[in-house]
Amino acid sequence: MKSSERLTKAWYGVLVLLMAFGGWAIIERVQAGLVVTNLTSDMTWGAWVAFYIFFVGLSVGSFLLSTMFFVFKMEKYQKISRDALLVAILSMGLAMCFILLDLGRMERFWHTLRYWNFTSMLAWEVRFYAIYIGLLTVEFYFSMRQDLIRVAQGTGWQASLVSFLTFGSTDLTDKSKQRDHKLLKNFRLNWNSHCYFRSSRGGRYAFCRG
Amino acid sequence: MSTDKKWAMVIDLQKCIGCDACTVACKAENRTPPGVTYNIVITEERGTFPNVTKVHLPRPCMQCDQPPCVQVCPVKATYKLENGITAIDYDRCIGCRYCMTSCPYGARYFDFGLDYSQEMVGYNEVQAPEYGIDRGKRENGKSPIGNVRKCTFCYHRLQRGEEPACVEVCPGDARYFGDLNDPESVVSKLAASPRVFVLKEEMGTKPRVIYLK
Ligand code: SF4
Ligand code: SF4
Repeated sequence: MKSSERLTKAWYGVLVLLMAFGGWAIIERVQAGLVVTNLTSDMTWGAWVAFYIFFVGLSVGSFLLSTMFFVFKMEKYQKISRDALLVAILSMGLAMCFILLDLGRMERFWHTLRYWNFTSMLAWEVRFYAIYIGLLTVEFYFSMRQDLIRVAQGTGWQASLVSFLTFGSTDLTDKSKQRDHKLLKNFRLNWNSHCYFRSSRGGRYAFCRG
Repeated sequence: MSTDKKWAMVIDLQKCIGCDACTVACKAENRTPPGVTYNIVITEERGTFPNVTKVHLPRPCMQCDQPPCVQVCPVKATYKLENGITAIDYDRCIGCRYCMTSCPYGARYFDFGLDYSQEMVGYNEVQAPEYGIDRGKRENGKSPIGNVRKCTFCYHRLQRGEEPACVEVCPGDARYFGDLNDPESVVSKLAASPRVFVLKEEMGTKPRVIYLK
């Protein structure tokens, strides 16, 4: 075994140990409640809230990065554009996990969507997160559609699973490709606020000149 | 209970002797767990030697008329009752603790599920019927554990026609409780006194707990 391979294995071992520790901590927290966190009524919010905000920020950053290719056609970002979208989705998932752990009554998380207090920033946030995650998922799907169709034309269980996702489409022509790209682009332009569009366009020009 | 009442409390700081009897009475009445103290008495020394004096300031929930806690609650678990009391719906509250962050008076406490079963026989057997709802035994995983709690102006006692426990017990007779809608009530008359002030008036919360300096 090469030494670099050994190093990788050791690193993975450390990661697995850390994950096991995290899993144990989550079980502790779920069983015993927030009392294990050492939070108090004077210090009400702890690291989980900070992590949650961090991952939301990470997600939006990744999303903007993917925009470089999907909307502004900056080819040098093509390689990472889809990865960036995936990171955006995963980050949102993580952020939601953190904030779920932080709730005093986790089983009532759905109350945040069922009941709405118009003046509460948090209530608005939750709704926008839901829309945003939906948007990311749809975009991710369209960014992968061409490849999915390709896989669906193969054989085996992957193919049948994927053909379910592509609704049996076999259209791999340039036209369908262009349509997907256009969809991706329009989706963003329609969904994101005018303000965001303007600022990214400004950014693009600055970038191109530089 | 008729809804045309607007409950308010007046606390005369000249009469308060800082004995913390209200804190104890509140704990006994509401059977609040460790870490949850609806009422506290803050003591402050003022002046420089030899002209020093101590000021005792009891602090329940102010039952604000413009309460930031109600404004921020994402699920409307905290809301204003018609009688002026700021209530919490323990069955709706998700325990996000946003309201605690927003309350300028630190009047809110999170129920971490601790108890006095070591110190007191049968502590978990019965709970105070807060907001007039009998919740039976105090059990893990049952509200109000995992919820935010605060002073209720002893809503359940008001329903029985009694004063809040802290008002009843105060040996200095520093606390007055009554209906601000009734111009003849003691609190209405005291609220017109030139000694009147409220805590953090600049925050615009419009507290229903009024102090006399
Ligand atoms: S004192 Fe705090 S908890 Fe009470 S009503 Fe005002 S903001 Fe809400
Ligand atoms: S902790 Fe409960 S009462 Fe407070 S803001 Fe969150 S849901 Fe509302």
